[in-house]
Amino acid sequence: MTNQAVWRDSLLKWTRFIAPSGSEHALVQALLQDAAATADATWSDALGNGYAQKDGQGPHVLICAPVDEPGVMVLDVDADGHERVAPIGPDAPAQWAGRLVRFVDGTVGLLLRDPQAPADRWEASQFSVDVAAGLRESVPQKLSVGLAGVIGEDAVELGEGSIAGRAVGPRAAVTAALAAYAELAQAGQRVTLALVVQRQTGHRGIRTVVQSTAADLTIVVEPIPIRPGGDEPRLGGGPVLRLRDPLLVLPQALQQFAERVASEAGRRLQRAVLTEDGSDAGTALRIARMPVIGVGMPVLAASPYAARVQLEDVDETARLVAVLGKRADTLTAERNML
Amino acid sequence: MLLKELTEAVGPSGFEDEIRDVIRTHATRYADHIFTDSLGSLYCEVHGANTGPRVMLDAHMDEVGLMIVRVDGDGLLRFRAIGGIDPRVLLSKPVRVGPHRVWGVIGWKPVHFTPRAERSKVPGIEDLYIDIGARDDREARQVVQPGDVAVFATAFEPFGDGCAKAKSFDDRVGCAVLLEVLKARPLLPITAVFTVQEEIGLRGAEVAAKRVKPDIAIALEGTVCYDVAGTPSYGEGTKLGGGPAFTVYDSRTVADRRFLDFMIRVAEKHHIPYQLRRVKGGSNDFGAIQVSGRGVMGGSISVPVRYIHAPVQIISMDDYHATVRMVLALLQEIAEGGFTPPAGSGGMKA
Repeated sequence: MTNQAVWRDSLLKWTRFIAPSGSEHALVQALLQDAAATADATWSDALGNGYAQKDGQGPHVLICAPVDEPGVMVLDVDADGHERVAPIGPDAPAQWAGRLVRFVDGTVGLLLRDPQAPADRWEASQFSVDVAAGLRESVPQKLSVGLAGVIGEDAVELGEGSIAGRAVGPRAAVTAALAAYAELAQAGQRVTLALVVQRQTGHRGIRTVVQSTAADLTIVVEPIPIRPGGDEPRLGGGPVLRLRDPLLVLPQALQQFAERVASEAGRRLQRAVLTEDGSDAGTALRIARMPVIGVGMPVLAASPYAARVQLEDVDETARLVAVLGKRADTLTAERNML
Repeated sequence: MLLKELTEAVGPSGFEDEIRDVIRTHATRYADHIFTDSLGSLYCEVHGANTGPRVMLDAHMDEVGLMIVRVDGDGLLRFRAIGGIDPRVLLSKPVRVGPHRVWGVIGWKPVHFTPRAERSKVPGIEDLYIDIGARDDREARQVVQPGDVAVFATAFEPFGDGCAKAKSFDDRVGCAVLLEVLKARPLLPITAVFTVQEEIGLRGAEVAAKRVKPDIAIALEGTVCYDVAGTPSYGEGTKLGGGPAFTVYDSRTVADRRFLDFMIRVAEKHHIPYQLRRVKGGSNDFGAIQVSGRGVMGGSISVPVRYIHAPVQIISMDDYHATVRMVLALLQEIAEGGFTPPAGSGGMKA
């Protein structure tokens, strides 16, 4: 499909966007621009989800991937010009101290913890962001409240084939989804790519995607956390089939379909049963009236704000999603079991 | 007075019959078409003189309350909360119980019988009971059965400098704003929905949004006040008397900046005071509406309520009147083309 350098450049390009949940517009527009070359139509819905659609033959395949990342939102500006923030997505203030926040308007700030805060209790309310504003009067308060930003370091290549940094998980997933969409569209398949917002804040975007798109098969590509040193799934082991998570129990027929197609195509496919990580796939499965398969991108997460991915997993995931889409017409047998 | 009538009506989540009848009586005078859905929400359509985006205005009519789960042999009633109620606000409060609205008092052993070690502990809701003055369970069961509900017995009263106290300003103040807006007969086609079961999971709004398929939706709410003792000085928004509060962020919503900015522009143009609501806990019906169908553009406007979800709640009448003016100003601006929902919003085909 493509070589490693292309995957690397593409992934790094998408990680440069700052897209905390609710502020994904710039990233969605850039991704849609990329997808437009193979699309008959592109648009966004009221919640901000982006869509690229290509008419064609065969079953309608919907490929979904999240675009947002965790971050913080300004709640208030205090008398010293420091901004008080609340988490967007995971509430992990123990990871905040001394880190930079990059806001969507380009402002950069330093996260400071109240020196009086107890050492054994970490809360978002103990933090402020120093943007070197001087005093409150120099910060346009009403414009700042609601401004969102992200925490963490920009992604870098850590050695050949390995990318680490902020937002690499969701951006690896969307990179693979974009490539799979392009391959299906060029092959003449009827396919829609959905760039899904607000996964981090409770799987909101996926709800409107599946309510507004009638597909014969929905494939949700999203990050899947793996443990260092674990047997399976593992980093570099290829895409992961979500069998179960707090929001999902994959119907056996869909598992059989995915594993049959992967086997016939000679593609790698790991399995995962998760006890903590809910998914857009599980949310979609509850709402959609058609089959939904969750394909995980293996991500070694150091914190909500930093992770590492392998480019070979991006490549393998893109190939698997494309082949699942191409073989959607063979889902009939398994669907009779649903 | 409208606020008195609305706040004194009974209507815990799932038991909205009485409040629905009160609202229906008023709305019938102003709406072109009224109906209910199977969950119990009340829909009031105003056809409007203009064509334009289909606007859904939402206010939930249910309130927090108590449900009787057991009648003890001594005639005392055990109960559980309907919606989010802090048991610390319940001790010794008067309530009205069951279909006959009998008086009751939420009981707990007096300090004389409380061991010193227990005095600093907060009783759980399972420790409390309602005393209706019955001699035993047989007498109690003549007027109350398990499954009946109880509500706080608080009369509406204006007091202080332009304030009012009552039970259930959350969200009868929103219902009152919505009725005032209907009364003004906006030019746009409006569906006003008085929803049920917000306090137990935004259930009525979820069904209503799917039914109405609005292009724009605005939820009208009572929300928490942060200007009370013991909250951090930097606050999280919303002060009594600060004007209607526009949601920036809550547990179910990250505001769409386009609509939020539109509301701010309209408030400033019409010289209406406003504030920004950003709360980590809590949500409102807009959280359910926005993810309905193709997604719905809009936001929520809240009247600050001190001591929300407690037996006695306080609002500023200035905030209430400013909220009515704010909603009417928004509708006027939308009717004049001041805000166009994006293609793909609500029922609009992209």
